[in-house]
Amino acid sequence: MNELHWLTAAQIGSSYRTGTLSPVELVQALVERIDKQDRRINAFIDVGAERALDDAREADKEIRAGRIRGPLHGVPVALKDIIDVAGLRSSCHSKIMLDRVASRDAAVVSRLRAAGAVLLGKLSLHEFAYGGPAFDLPFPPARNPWNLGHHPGGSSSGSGAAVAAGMVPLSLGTDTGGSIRNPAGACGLVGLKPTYGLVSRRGVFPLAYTLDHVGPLTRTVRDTALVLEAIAGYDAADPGSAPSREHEFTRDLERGVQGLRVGFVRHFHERDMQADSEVASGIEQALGTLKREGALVRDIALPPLREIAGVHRVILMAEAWAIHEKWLKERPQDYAAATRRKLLAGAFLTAGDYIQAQRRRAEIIASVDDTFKDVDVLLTANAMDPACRIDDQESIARTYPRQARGPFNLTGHPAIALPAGFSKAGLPLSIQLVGRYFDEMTLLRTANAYERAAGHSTHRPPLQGTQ
Amino acid sequence: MKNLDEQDVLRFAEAVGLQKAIAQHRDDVLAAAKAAADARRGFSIPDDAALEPSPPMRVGDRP
Repeated sequence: MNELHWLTAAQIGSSYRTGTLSPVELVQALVERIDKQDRRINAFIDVGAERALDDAREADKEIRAGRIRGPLHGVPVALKDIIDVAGLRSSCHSKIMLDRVASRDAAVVSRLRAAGAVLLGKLSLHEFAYGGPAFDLPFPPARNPWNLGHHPGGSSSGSGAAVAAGMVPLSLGTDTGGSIRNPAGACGLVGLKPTYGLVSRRGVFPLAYTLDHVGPLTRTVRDTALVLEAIAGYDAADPGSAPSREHEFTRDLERGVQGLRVGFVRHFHERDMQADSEVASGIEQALGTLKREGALVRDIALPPLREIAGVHRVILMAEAWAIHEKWLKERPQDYAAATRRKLLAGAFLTAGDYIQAQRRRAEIIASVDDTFKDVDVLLTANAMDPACRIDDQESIARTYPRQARGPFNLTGHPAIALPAGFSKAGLPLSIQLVGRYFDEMTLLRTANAYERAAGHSTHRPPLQGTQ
Repeated sequence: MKNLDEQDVLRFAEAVGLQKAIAQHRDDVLAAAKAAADARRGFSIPDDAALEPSPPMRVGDRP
């Protein structure tokens, strides 16, 4: 079998069941791939090849004995290095946390282990999921496999780069203002921010308590559904965790979108912010694809992006300050400049500012949730621009806030980034679909219909060496 | 907090306990204060005094 590194999780599971591939063979192939490609991409902070091979051998034995735990059994998954794995360092890509070794698995790690997944490495990120790309940290920033001179998005930058480069089929990231959907978009991947409370955050270093989410980055919608089935569920140890409900996300994937009502939030990228023309064209094409597949599309108005962004920023700044206050006072020099500057902002907000933002948030939530009385799914822009150069601080500062992801961290609705073609320069474009609370099934079904019709997910980055 | 001039920002930062940051990263402190002011100005405050913050206080709803 050729090109093992481009197999999806669904294909891997199928190959294991028919005996044409073993977890050990796959992990060995991926470790070789990482060894060849990651010298330039910097997606991994720690590969942990021996540990992964041990886990793969164990999975091999169980699968051969017919004790298949589920579709992720023996499938490698890499984790943003902000997610705890017992006995391993969780560096948060920061000097501050270099010596911190986790004593216990994060809830999502326990769930992945129970599903039989093989943990393959910890991935780079923007410091504490908030800063750079920065060149003044203990590890270099990850680069975009589609063009190594460009930014892979963040903050789950390694999670995006590793999957896009074929170094691992699945990864987990975190998303407080779009940090799963941004790298997914920049790297041509599928990235899901689940409903707030669907996936436990226990054992994941916080950035902002009321905005943080954990979710998958994958190359296909089906793989995203498979990971979500493994990691979703109530956890009493996460104060934001939602009561258990049905977690079957693959069941209706092939149902299509005939008659499904899609609300198009055009004003986000046409009036509130003016998207790059190639991005806007990708969104229009996605709209056409959904219509051709039978969806009923109508324009929908949400509160303006600028208003939502202001509320989001105040809440993020205040909550992040509460987490980092002690270190900012005692060792500010140990942060990257970009992170320090962002984190210090919370010191200049009052309790009143925070409460007012949370009150305005209540209105925004009601307004966004109201639209789901008339539509089943929303279609919006993801980023307003293709990925910029990683060494161009001015472009990064200009383009980073130009996005439509933050609204759904604020409201907690599930949102998924999907590939939407390429710019003339060969960089991925992306759209975003948003669903009702806990209706990931309809969201994934819509995403799957779009993915199948659009055909963008089959493209691979032009990396040198093994393809 | 109202908009502050540079000296006000530094005095406030000192009162908060950011002496080390002021000494080593003065520009970052000033930029952070500006970012906070910009964010605060970015949204309107609700008129309805009865509107409670989100997420609301809830007790006894754990499964």
